[in-house]
Amino acid sequence: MTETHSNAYASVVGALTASEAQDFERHLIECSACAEEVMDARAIASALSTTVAVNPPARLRGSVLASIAHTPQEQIATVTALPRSETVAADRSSRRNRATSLLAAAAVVAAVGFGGWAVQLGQDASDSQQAADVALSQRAKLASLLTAADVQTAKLASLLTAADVQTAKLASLLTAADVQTVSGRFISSDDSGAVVMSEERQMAVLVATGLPKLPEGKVYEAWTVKGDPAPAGIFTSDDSDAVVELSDAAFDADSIAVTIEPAGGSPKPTGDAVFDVSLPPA
Amino acid sequence: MSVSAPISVHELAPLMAAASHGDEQAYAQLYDATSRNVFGIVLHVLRDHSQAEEVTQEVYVEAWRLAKRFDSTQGSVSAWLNTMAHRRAVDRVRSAERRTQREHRHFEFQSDNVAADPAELVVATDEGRRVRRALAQLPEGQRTAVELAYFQGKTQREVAEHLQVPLGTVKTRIRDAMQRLRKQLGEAAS
Ligand SMILES: [Zn+2]
Repeated sequence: MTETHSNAYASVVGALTASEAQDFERHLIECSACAEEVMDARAIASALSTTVAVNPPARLRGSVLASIAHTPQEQIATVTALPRSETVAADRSSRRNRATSLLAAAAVVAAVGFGGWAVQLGQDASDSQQAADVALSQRAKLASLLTAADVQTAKLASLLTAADVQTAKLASLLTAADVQTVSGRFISSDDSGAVVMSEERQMAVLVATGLPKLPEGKVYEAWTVKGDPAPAGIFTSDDSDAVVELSDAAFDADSIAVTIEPAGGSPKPTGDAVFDVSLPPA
Repeated sequence: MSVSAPISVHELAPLMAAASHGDEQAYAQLYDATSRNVFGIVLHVLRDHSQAEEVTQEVYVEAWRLAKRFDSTQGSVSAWLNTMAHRRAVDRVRSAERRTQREHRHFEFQSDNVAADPAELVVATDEGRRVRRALAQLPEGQRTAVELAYFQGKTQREVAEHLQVPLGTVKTRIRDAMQRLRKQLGEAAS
């Protein structure tokens, strides 16, 4: 077994360092054998916790329930390719919530589905903090527009300097009176993405940070979803961050999704979504 | 004590589904059914009562927030929660260790704050007993490797140093241990 494969069991008992764990998460996207092993072994690791069960103090229950009462739940819209006739009857929100996966392309589903488990890893924003401090001072105004979003502003702000979309163009988007930012999370990693759009400027971009590196011959493809998903742009994860200009269809889409596709992109998604975010009704 | 009628693991998935649509009552039931294990593992790794409460709270709030991501084809609700809890606890222990190393201070993990040895508080359950028996049947090297990693939050490299064996040996021991446990505990493992 190779170095990375051999980390499957160690990952389940939490014995990987942060960077090993990150490499392994990436590996899981492309290795269904590991994904399966991990899924099985996780049940065993979880059973180990029964040997140390301790009743929590009673006050914790009240405190948890009080917190959740004002914690909004993340809405995940899975890319849905239902026939038109079926979606017409359903209202906008129930259609969005329908957890229909696109294709049961087993390997991708296993890996990506698994990835959902990785998401809750403690998030440490401090690594990008320094870069962000610089970016923030230079671009205080832009950054302040982003504070509305619950995407890590720091990360986004630092991205603005690295973005390969022209910064001037982005700046004009971010300062538009009707700019809207909708944030979401990548399912296969612990990172954030956001869709920033302005109808006035006729521009919509997808901003993503910390993208897992893709296997050779694969690309990320963005989709605008309204009934059937339509291709909205292709991008890679060369420097782990991406700013992708989306097609105009974003303006009346119900959601924006990202899948992993063969190089060159696909006319229809062939994998389950690794990211998606519902857009507010126009 | 809030543990009312026991809820079997099979009833957890529907509770989770209801919770993912905002049903707070279902979530309360879910908490009652799962919090001993979540709190237990967090306390065991952190060995600090107030930090364990904090982390347990974080886990349940995060699981509520991300409830829609729970996918029953990928494992049980308890595995989902326990995995999340274990990771957070391990993360916290490690960052506390890093901090302490940076400060060049002698490291004793919050020892004043430990009310009692968590082992004394452990609630014996049937499943716990069964898993403990299975653990006890592992060859010692395997058991120690799993205990150092899972219950003490050590990385595989630290385990190797601690046991003075090569890293590859640790990997193999952990893998063999987990595979043996799987065989012994069979499908009933949650
Ligand atoms: Zn592998």
